[in-house]
Amino acid sequence: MIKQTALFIPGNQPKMHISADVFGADCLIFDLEDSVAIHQKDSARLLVKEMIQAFDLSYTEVIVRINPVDSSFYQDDLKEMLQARPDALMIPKATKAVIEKVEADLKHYNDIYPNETLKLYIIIETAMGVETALETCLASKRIIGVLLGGEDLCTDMKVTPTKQRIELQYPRSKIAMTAAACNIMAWDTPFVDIDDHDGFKEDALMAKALGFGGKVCIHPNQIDIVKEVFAISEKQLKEAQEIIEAYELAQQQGLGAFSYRGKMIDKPILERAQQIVAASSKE
Amino acid sequence: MDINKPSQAGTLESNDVYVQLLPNPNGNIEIKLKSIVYKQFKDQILQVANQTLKDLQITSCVLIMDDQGALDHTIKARIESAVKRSL
Amino acid sequence: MDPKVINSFKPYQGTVDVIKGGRFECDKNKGHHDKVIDDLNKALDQLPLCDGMTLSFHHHLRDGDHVLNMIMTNIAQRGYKNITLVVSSLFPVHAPLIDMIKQQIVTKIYAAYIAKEIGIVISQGYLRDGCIMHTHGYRATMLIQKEVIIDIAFLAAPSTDQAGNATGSEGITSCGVLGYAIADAQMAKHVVLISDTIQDVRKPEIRAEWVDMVIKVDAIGDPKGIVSGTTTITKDPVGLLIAKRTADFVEAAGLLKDGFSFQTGAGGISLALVQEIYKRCQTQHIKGSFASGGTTKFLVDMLEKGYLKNIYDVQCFDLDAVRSVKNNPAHIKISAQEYADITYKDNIVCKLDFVVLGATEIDTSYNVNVTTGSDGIIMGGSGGHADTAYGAKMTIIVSKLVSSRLSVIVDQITTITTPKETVDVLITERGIAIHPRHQELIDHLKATTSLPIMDIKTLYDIAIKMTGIPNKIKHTDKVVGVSLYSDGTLLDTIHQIKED
Repeated sequence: MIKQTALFIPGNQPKMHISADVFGADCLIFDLEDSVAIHQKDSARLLVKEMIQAFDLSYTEVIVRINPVDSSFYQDDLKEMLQARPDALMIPKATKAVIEKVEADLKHYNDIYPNETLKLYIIIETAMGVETALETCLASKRIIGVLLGGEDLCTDMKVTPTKQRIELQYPRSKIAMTAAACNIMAWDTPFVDIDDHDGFKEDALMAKALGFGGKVCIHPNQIDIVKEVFAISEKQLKEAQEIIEAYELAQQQGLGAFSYRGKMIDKPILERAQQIVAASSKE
Repeated sequence: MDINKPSQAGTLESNDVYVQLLPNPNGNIEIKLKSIVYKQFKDQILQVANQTLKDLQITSCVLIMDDQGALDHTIKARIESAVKRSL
Repeated sequence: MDPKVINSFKPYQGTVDVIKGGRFECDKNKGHHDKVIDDLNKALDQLPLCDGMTLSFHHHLRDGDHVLNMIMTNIAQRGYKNITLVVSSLFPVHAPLIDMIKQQIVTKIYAAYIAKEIGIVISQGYLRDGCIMHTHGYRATMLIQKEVIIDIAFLAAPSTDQAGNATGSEGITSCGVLGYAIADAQMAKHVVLISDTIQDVRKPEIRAEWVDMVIKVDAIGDPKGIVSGTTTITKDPVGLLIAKRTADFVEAAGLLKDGFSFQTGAGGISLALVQEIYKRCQTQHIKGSFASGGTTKFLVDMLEKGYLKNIYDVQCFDLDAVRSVKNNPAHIKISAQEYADITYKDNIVCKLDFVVLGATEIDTSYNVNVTTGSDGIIMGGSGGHADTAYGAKMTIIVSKLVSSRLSVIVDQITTITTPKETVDVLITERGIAIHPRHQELIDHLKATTSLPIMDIKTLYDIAIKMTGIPNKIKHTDKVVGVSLYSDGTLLDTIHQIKED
């Protein structure tokens, strides 16, 4: 599944939950962390659990961002979410050690709450996190995506965010590269000025150019802009269709390897072409 | 189990329900419901509330609900939260 | 000459101020003289007030109106009873009527819209002779065709001269248009203007020869309650989604092309829709012919930038609309008759390509309710709903599917305001339902767009799955009101609510 848009939903606001799935986001991230006040964390996790169990959200990917593993909320978040059975958990402030702990806890709970199919997204949002991104992304086979947390990263680096986000140039490139190396999704950091549509579009274009597969949205009106920016062009689609045709022809002729326009086509390129065609036919 | 310590959960925001749990000297379950959709959903809301308390093995409490059109899962979650906060 | 012909003429009787017993009753004084009285009590002393009279008021001052309360309080103090009110609409500011209803000072109301504060009292059964909920268009019909006779029309006039030439466009409490007052002024037995600004009027909508008296008061209303300083687009993401989806539908259905005409409401979703339509007109270089109805800044923008040829205005909702209708000849004032009277040959509603309306309820046959809430209480009224639905080529209802646990689609509708024959499409955040009479359109849109088109019953099931099945609201057998169609026929009855 091509996942370009992920919408953050504050975990303690029922009104937002029940309309979360109408905006066409590929993924919904129910948040138990930053958008929930400390004294409401207990209520929020129960609300999100009941919501996920009660609503048919089968046509989006359901992700829950739990609290950091070193917080007092982590254990209860984990236990309730293992009962809720979302598609994935999103782990903030991820490092290799953090992911190893999560993996160990999931294994530990597997007998009571079977969780082998549970996937993980990780958020890189500290300077050390950026520098050790590769080992973090490789720390668990469950990891299918990485999100850059720009706001917290700026705080950790003690820099003031600039409008052009110069301070994020290296982290963005690093995360996009690491994700590509590990063959996982890379989502770019949120854009907080929800009324600045032009600024958001520019930001999304930059993310696309750097190799991100999509962008996290903090407001529904950002979703269409991301879709527009990351849309598969006619040219890309045509090329993908031709690659598949070339592959099918090669298959018929009993050929293993095949070329397209002078280039050898290997498995990842073929898979990418298949994904593009599949996503386009979903339109 | 009896509720011995007062607690609350939820908010008065749209689609939420504000619940208060209090000890009940009568020793049984008493529910006081106020809702913007009282006429349409009173029975269903009370049914969910009673079932939730039963599932949590609560046998004695006063449950006060101020509902702004919460769906069943929200009602269940808010009651569960109030119970957990009380115990 | 044939003597018979000569004798067929009545002899001259002499000329007096009022020629009585002549061929016509003439009053030389009904015309352009000074009719101003600046004392409310003195003015009312001179009027033929009596028990059981029929009085009318218009609602152009909306929730900032002082006139109705001012007049009715004075009349109530004089001890009159059993009064019928022919108001075009009632707003929360008219709450003093509640006690008058309970005390049977007012016993019958004709209205196109009644706010819930007053509606609840009627739904509880206090209005002795009930309420007649009609459309804006039918109000004009019933007055002009003399089905209802007004004894005295009390008409707030933001600006008038001493003879009664009046306009809504000038004065300290300017409201723009006086479209709903015209039929009253033309047909009432006695026409009284109430104004706070007496001055020359260049282009009056109300003409002196219709007017008997002008009462000068300090203030006819509160400008803040009359028009909004600014009308604002909804910020609710679900509302914005519905607006965008509606614009997508309108475009895909081929309704957005040169010369198109449309009307929307003035709520947050409608304003977002107007902005979407405006954007698409800009990118696709489309010029509409007209927009009508209640007007706002957004329509004025389209007009001023050349994306509409005209606006036909029966009610201004904000200051930009008031300014525009005063100054721009392409922004045309119309009366309720010209707008929506379906017996009027050249009415505006029948020229509409599409209209976008709201609903409190819609059933799976596409009947629409905007009169009562799902709790059975009167909280609105047709206004121009049924009229525009009748006239427009495509009638689009926009609404959240589920709001505060209530589904807009219902199994059994509480009150029919607009009948199913005139309703075409329902657009919600979870799907679009199109009436089966448009099967070709349904097939075309399913084949060429990704719009979520589904059967209205499917959409209903989706809603009920979320909310659960609601209990039916209980009501008594007592009928407290009727819902009339644009032609005055009876669509539905409104029952007294049962209170536990």
